[in-house]
Amino acid sequence: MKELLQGQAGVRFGKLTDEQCAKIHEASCRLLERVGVEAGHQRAREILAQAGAKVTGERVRLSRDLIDWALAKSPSGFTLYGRGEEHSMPVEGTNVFYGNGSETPIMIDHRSGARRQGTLADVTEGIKLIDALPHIDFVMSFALPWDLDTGVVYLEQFKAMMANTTKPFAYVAPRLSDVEGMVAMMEAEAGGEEAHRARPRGLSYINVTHPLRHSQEDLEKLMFVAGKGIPLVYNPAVLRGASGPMTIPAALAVANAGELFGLVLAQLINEGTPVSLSGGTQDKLDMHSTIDVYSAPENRVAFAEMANWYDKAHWGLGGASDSKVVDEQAAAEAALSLTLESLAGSNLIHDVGYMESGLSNSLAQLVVCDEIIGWIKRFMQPLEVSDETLALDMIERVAPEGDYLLEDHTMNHLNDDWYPRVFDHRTFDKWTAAGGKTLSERAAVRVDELIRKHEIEPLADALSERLDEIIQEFKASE
Amino acid sequence: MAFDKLIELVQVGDGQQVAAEVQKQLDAGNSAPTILNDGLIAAMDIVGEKMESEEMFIPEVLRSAKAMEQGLAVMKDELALDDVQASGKVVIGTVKGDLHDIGKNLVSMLLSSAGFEVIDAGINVAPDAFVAKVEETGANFLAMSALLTTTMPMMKQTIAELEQRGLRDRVKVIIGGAPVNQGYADELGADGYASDAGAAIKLAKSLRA
Ligand code: B12
Repeated sequence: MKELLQGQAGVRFGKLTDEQCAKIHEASCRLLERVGVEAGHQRAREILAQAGAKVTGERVRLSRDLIDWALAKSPSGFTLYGRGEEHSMPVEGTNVFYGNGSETPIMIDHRSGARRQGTLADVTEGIKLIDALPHIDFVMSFALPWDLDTGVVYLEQFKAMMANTTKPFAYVAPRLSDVEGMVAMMEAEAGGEEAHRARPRGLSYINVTHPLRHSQEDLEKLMFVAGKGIPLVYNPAVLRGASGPMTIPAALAVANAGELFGLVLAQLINEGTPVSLSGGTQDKLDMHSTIDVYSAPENRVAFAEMANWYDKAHWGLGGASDSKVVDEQAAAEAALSLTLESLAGSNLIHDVGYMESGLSNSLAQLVVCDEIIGWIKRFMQPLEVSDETLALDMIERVAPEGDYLLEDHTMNHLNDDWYPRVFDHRTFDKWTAAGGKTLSERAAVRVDELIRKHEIEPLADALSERLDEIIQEFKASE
Repeated sequence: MAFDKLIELVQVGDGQQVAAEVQKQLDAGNSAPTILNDGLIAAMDIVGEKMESEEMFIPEVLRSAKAMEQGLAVMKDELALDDVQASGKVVIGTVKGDLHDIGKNLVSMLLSSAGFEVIDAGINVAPDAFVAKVEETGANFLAMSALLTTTMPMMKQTIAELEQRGLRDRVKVIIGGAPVNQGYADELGADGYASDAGAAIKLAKSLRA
């Protein structure tokens, strides 16, 4: 079990008891022992066989001993580092960090409201905004540019990320060569492989095709990243009722089995490789529309609880809406999921700002989410009960009839409270005088303000050139 | 109506009971084509409407289609099943470099429940592999799924490959998947695009007619 770190919120919401977590773990172990995983990578199978796994054809069955060994070897947390000295993120305990989502095929233009394909210029602008947003802690790629050749698109986009934010990354790509190129780029920035291992800039997000059937590509990425000994999450997808069972505990057991399989392989390749658990992409498949519903109440919390129970970092998801525009639904779904995932103690909450089932991204929605996260962070602060915060001496002096407006104590604590930037707490008259704008309109204005004002130190010329060379080295032929 | 019970059983999706009820209707002297048209097909029409209006979930629809097939099997001697079975033979797959298969599987299942013969080529299917499958099976439909922006060009390459092998006129090409849209289908010269499985069935049926 994860302990609350000193100075952290005592708030912790969950739905599973320890016994229930243990039962799900047992179920996963049984599945790995009896059903096993169809592993589409020969070297992976050989490594597992050498460690005592039972391999028949492509099927690999794991013993409990091996699973226990891997759980004991993998660290319970890790730290990601930004460019320079800023933004280090200890991903452990109940620390919660927030990140946007990656590579959507569509974006919603905050200026025109148009739903359109993004370009490299949009991505650059998007990353710059994310760098400026105070509550987005780590960065994913926003939209996938349509104005670049498919062979270099992931790498060029990654360069735009390196150039336009100093925050840590979560990086993801379909091809191994893209992942290799991204790691090479971060190593170039850090000053070599060793230096980057010591201060990894990002988390490699690897999606796994099926919970108990892992493709060559999935395993190849895992083995490459684990070989480097840098942080990763190996995330099997279960759309309940389609690629996995319909009930939440069963889906969780199956996805967890797939993740434990990845954890074992990662530790065999490189003992101590930091692996974050996710519980899988446990999205609800809407059985009418067939949409993968990112915002469903069924998706939340239990997965974070399993990671907490294992005392491992958790890769979570929140702030994603299935609305098509930045509207009331978008705000409500973002607020609900961000609140719950934060309360559950998920360490890395990604896909903040996603819309339309992960198909589009919106900078205005990101600004709304940033505001919601500010609210949540304030709420999550522990309440300190001390002489200073109880202030009995002062109350005895002022009470019963006095007022507190001019008290030093009031002055000293004015800045404790949270004040909104795009939520509106003004009088009706002031709001009307300022144009009577709705939340989404105000958010769009703030996007432009932030982008206009925000400056970031450009990459050194030598590094920028080196990154271009790496892009040429790793670009895909098709 | 004589077929009320049969229609109800198909909707509930109880294949065994559908088969038994079909047998009962045959024994009672109803002709197979009547049972088919006024019973089984009438039931599936209702199922189709209920899918549209979201009164039935997709898995329930798939079950009803399975139940209907079990009823059909009882009459296979009475009906020249080849005439009943649609004239659509579909090769379906996810394009090269792409491993997403949940949507492709749904389309494939709904197509077969709508009477198409479906040959699933799987995921990560290269253009020449698609074309070889079409050639080998004599399919008259090619259905391609792509979920990644970076794998969409594979659809174009596959169509080019079809043209090269002189097969383009023989097959209707339909495409789908999250980043794909009608504009892209037009650009490729595909015969159709659909945004979900229900629409995919309508599209395939309209192209078959
Ligand atoms: C589930 C999922 C996964 C699962 C896939 C599991 C599996 N076995 O399929 C996992 C987690 C493994 C995964 C992996 C990846 N994914 Co993915 N994934 C999704 C997600 C969330 C849902 C897809 C889904 O299954 N939806 C439910 C099904 C039922 O719907 P559907 O596929 O759209 O199909 C319907 C229609 O499109 C249509 N249809 C589909 N095919 C066809 C074909 C024809 C002929 C017709 C007519 C109609 C039709 O009918 C279907 C039924 O109604 C989408 C987001 C999204 N909303 O699409 C991202 C998404 C597609 N993935 C994405 C990415 C980037 C990846 C990865 C590269 C991430 C990574 N690096 O690990 C890998 C790619 C691996 C690879 N080489 O393919 C991106 C694509 C972005 C882009 N611009 O290209 C998306 C959009 C998410 C995002 N924004 O990041 N993914």
